[in-house]
Amino acid sequence: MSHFSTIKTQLKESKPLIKALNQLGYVINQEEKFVKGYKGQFTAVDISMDLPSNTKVGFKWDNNSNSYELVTDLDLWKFELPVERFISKVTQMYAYHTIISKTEEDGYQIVEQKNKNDGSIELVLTKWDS
Amino acid sequence: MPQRTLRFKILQDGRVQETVEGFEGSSCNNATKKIEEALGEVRVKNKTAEAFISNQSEKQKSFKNESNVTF
Repeated sequence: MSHFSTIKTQLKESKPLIKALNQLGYVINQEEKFVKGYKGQFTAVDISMDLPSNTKVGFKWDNNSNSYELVTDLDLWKFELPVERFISKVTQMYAYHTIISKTEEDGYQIVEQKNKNDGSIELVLTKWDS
Repeated sequence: MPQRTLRFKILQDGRVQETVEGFEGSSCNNATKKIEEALGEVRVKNKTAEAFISNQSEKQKSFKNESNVTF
């Protein structure tokens, strides 16, 4: 049987998330695992980063959604990308790295990869069944 | 020796459209289960035309019951 699925991506694993952040050029600061917000309040996070324009963001594991969630103080957001675009970019790159690593484990090889005009990434992977 | 193909379109907002080709029976579900588990919530799952060709006897049933499953 063959099938077609649509998946709403959630940030479920740290390894592809960190790879995605690195690839997008964001520098992870693992010495300070917190995000400092307005009035000096601190929120503990699992992955923290300093974005350009002195914007602090982090990702914190959430037991309810079983995924990482973004932590930032929106009042202090000065980064050039709006926060929605930032999270979309991270999620897209997370999906890319997750697909690459999971399919590689199963012996698939990339035969085609295209960045499309609509901003999507197309990937084709194949494996010969023995 | 069939060639198995996975096609992904990763949209700008992070949603993933996945098409799986060249699998017999339910093996294609196993092939992508790991990916789907690591990515998140499967919203829509459709069997493609090829699924019906490889499983003629269940054609009608599959079409009625499973052609448009939303999780």
